[in-house]
Formats: sequence, structure tokens, C-alpha cells
Amino acid sequence: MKDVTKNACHLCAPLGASLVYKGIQNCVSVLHGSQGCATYIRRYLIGHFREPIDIASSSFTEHTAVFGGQENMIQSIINVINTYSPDVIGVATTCLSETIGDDISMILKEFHKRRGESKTPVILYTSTPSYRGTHVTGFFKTLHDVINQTAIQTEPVDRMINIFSGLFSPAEIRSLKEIAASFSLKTILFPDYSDTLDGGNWNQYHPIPPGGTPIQIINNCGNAQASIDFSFCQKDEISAGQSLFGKFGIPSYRTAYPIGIELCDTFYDTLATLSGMEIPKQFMRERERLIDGYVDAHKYLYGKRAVVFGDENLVFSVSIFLAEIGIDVVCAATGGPKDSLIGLKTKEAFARTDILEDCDYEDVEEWVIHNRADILVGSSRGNKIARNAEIPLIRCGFPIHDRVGAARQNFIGYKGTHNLFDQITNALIEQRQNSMSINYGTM
Amino acid sequence: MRKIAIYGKGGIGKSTTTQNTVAGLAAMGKKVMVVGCDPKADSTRLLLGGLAQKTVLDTLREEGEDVELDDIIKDGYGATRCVESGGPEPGVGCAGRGIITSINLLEQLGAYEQELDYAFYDVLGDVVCGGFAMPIREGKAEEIYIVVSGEMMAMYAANNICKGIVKYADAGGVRLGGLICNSRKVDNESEMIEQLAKSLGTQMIHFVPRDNMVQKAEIHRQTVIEFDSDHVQADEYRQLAAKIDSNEMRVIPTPLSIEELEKLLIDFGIAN
Repeated sequence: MKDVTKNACHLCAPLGASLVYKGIQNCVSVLHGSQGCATYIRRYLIGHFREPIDIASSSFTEHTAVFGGQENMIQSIINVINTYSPDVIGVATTCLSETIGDDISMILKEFHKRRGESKTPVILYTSTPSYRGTHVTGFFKTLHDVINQTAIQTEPVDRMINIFSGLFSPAEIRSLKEIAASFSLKTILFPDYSDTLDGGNWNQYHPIPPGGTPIQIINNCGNAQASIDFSFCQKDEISAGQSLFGKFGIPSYRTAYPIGIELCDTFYDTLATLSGMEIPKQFMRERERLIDGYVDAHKYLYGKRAVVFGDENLVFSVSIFLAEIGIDVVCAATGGPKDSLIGLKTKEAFARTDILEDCDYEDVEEWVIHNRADILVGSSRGNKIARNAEIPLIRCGFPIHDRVGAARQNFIGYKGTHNLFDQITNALIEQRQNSMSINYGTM
Repeated sequence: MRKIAIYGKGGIGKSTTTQNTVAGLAAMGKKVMVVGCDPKADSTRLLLGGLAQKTVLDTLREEGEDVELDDIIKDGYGATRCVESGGPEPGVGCAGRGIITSINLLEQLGAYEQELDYAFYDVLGDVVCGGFAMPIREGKAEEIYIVVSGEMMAMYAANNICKGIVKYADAGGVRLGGLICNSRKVDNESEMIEQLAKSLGTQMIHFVPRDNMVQKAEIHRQTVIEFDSDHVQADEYRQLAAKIDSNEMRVIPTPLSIEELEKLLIDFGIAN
């Protein structure tokens, strides 16, 4: 066990919860705790997505911490109803409210009792103390809890599947929906924040940005034929797909983020199986072009040493992709819980990789200082490490707050992989070009 | 599985009564798990023959998150499954959060998925904060027994605990199963507690007479049933166990006002 955390390689669990609630249509999230929790999370989300983000808080004070948060919680819900008229309110707890043992389900029952017959939005809740999890586990736990609280089974719908998304960018979510549609499947993709966190310019202010999955559609998840669930590196108990399998027997395909040929093949094959269709030609062409790209750039990549860090699911998939293109993943690091990268540990290609779990940015920095690396792949928070080591950082994951375009970044599917592939290759070429004494025009 | 929480004023004999009753249930062939929710971690001493148990929180602290069920559950008398949640040292940290952490962990590890007839939560004194209410939250203990005696402060505490139950009964579904009178040889004790139970809308499920045998067995780190199975006191606990086993009375209590409680003491108690 480590002695101290200096700069954790993850963010707060309620941040993940807020992201999931952003994927529900006409929904506002309320964090049960101090105001700082909401402010901190808004700051990160705004920096990354560059969109307005409202997150309400039950605004704990010392008084609340002593006497319990029930009245503040109820008042904050009433304020949110009056200010936003939402269809859904998503409640997530924070460290303080969890420590004093506030029981949200009981508080909400009391709220509904007092509310009586008045029109009340659907209220969802999740428990996300940050000392028990990360923004990634918070995301998947909230996804799980929302599905658990809302999905109902009435009449199974033919050719309908659920896609339980991961921490993807809005562009990636749009791309997932397009891919699924190409297989003539009806898809409930949740959480879908592709519009709420990547909208157009407004002529007038919208208290809640348009977009997101309507709650009635989320209810319908219980009628799907199967679920594709991207909680690949998470524990079963926070997998929405597993929850629906347990409740309604809906088969769940736990799928890694589709990056690289191997993992994309698994994803497209799953869609082919579920739809009974062959993989559409356009994707096979993308796949061919990607392999061609691998061949063309091999000379720039072979034997290069990469350090990958961040969301365990992303680290897992990116590492497999890098190994595929001949790059040695010398260090794979995540702030995720112990064993979240167990999938890498059992693979031959990573026998010599240093795999760090529950780690700190300081650990990654130490590693880079004491070993040699050619490139970093991870969030903007690796900037300091890259700068000191004078090596490129390919920004992917969350947060990216020192560049624009995080919401438009697409690294999944054959096409998205090609995009990531070009960025990595070009960064390595640029590094080499700049380090030479002669100005070579052709590389 | 029936999930039962035992509450009562500090020092009233909750842990002793719980363990002796559990021994009674085990002797009836029931499969029982006892979850001690007291930072002192002495809720399973008599079943285990000493403070032999490493607590959930100590295990978490020393071994990190890699805890397995076998690390924290030990088999005690009559194959009872014993767990101590434990807690921080006196005066530091947050014992309430400790209870939440360990019950969450037990659920995660599937402790409640074993084949059990009973799970008993032995909870410290009053419900002093949200953490100590954890055992009566939704889906956890469904049935509460309060250990009480004819002493005023014990009755006062029992009444207070009933107020807590009302709060959780509305939302969480927990019910009061009855009062267990652990006698302190107060005058008119049995009648008074019967009357208190009646006023609270419940029953006195059993009157456990005071007997030095309990202390004697305790010194030997055993329940009375194990220490001297033929003793009359062992029979009392067997009776209590049987009564709990067949009890079907579950109520939302109706707590008394202080005036009513004092009147009860005047009408029946020492002042009489």
C-alpha cells in the first residue's frame, strides 16, 4: 500500500456521475455535498468540453454535516424543479454526505411523500464517494444504477440492442450510433451526451442544453435483445449489461473500447452476430486502409517505446493497439483500482510492460525519469511529464483542457483508430525531424 | 433469511444476550451469521472463545482492498459465522463510516449470499449517527429487538431507539419485533416492561432473569449454552431463541412522550 497520494491519476467519482446524467434528455444533476464538489467538477467538464455545464449542489455547511443533509437535499431538488423544470434529476453523493451516512433512498422517499400529487420529475440516484472510486468507476456505477432504477421489461423489441457507452467523446458517440445503424439495428445508446456536451451556437440561452436520451427510451432498455457494454475493465457489480442480464436475462457482450484491428474486429463481429448481417463493405474498406497504413508507417514506429496512462479501459485498448503497430508499451498506468488492468497482465505482448494500477501522476513521472520513453499517450495532465522529458504527448481520454477539440476527437472504430494512428506516427516523425541537425524535407 | 438487528442502551447486555440467543438458535440447527457493529469488536467473543477475530476494518487497513470472505469470517460455536466490523481507535477517525464501509464490503464479498437462516447485527448503544443506522437501512436488517431493563435510563434509551425505528420504518421497511428484558432485578420489572411494550405497540418477547451464571460463562469466554448446557439460564436463552424463531409480530412502534414514560415509572416502578 502506498503512503501518500500526491497527484492521483484519476478524478472524482461524482464527475463520472455528472457525465452520465448529461446523457439523459432534459436532466439536471444535483451533487449531495459541499458546493466545492459541484464547482470543481464543472470546472473540469467546461475545460474539456467547452460548453456550459450546470450542476446543482445541496450546499452542505457545518450545520448540515452535523444534523444530516435531508432538508438541504429536498430544498435543492425543489429549487432545481422551479429553476429548470427538468424531466429527470440525477442525484449523486459526495465524500462528506457519504461519511455522515446520509441515506439518499430514504431522503427521496421522504421527498416524494411531502411532494404528494404535485408533478415531479423522475429522480435517479447513485452513491459516489470519491474515496471509493474514480471518475471512471463513478461513470460506470452511475450508468449501472440508472439502468437498474429505470429499465423495465414489457414486450421485447425485435432487432433492438443497448449500447452502454464508455467515457467516449461526443464525436465517438455519434460514430458508434452510425456504425450500429449501418447494421440495421435499432439502438438505445446510453449515456448519449453527444449533443448536450457538443452543441451548436445558440441565439438564446437554454437552461438545459438540448440532446440526450429521453428517460422513456432508457426505460425501454429492458426490451432489448442484447447489450453491448463497454465497461470492459470494470467489476461485474457496476456493469449495466450484467445487471440487465441478471434481471431480465438479456445477454451482455462486455466489449473493450474498439481501438486497433483486433478490438475493432471483436466489436464489428458482435454487431454482425447480433444483426445477422455481414459487416458492411464500407467498414471492410476502412479496415483495409488501416492495415495499409500500418504497413506504410511501420518503419517510423517499430521498437518505439510508449507510456500509456489514464482511464483503465482506454489504457487497455490503446496498449493492445500500440502492440499491434509494433510499438513497445513499456509502461501502462491507470488510477483505476487494483486488477483493473488484469486483462493486459495475462497477455504475452505485455510480459515486459510495467503495469501500474491505482497510481499517481508522480509514479508515471518517476517512471519516465528513470526509464526511457519515446512517446506518451494520455490526458492533458501528462503535459508536465512530456515537457520535462522532451517527448510528445498524444492527448486522448479525459481531461484535455490545454487543446481545443476534445469533443470532436474520434479514436474508435477502424476509421477512428486510423486517426489516432496518424497522430502518433506524425508526432514521432516530427520529434525525429526536429532533433536532426540537417533540415530534411522528406522523412 | 431473517435479518435482525439488536439495539439497546450501552452496557445493557446486548452482545451477551445476542450471543447467547444465537447459541440457542444454533443449537436448534439454524445457520446464523453475527455481524458485530461495535468499534470495540467484542460482539463475537463468547461464540469464538475469545477476541480471536480480526476485524473487517483492520484487515482492510493492513491488507488493502484484496480481502476475501474467509479473511474476515470465522466459525464459532455451533458453526455460527462471526464477523466483527471493528473501527478506529477511540477518539480518532469516524466509526460510523467504518460500519458503512464494512457492511458494503460484506455485501460485495457475498457474505449474505451464503445459505443462512439468520443474520444478526449487534449494534453499539444508541443510533448516534448515520453510520450506526446503516444496519437498518433499506434491504439490511428487517427486524429489530431492543434489549432493555427496568432501569429508567434503559427504558428511556429503548424509547429513543423506537423513534429511530419509526423514521426508518417509513422509508426503509424495518419493523420492531419486540423488547427483550434483561433483568436488573428492579421491582416490578417484568410488569413494567410488559406495560412499556404495550404502550410502544409491541411485546416483551422474553424476560431473561439475572443469573451469575452469565458472568461465569463470560469469564470462560463462552455462552451459557456452551458452558453449562443443563443450567436453568441456558434454558432461558433457548426459550428466547425459540420465541424469536416463531415470532411473527412486527410493528412500527409508537414511541412515548417523556411524560408518559415517567408516568409509567411512577405507576409501576420504584416510586410505587
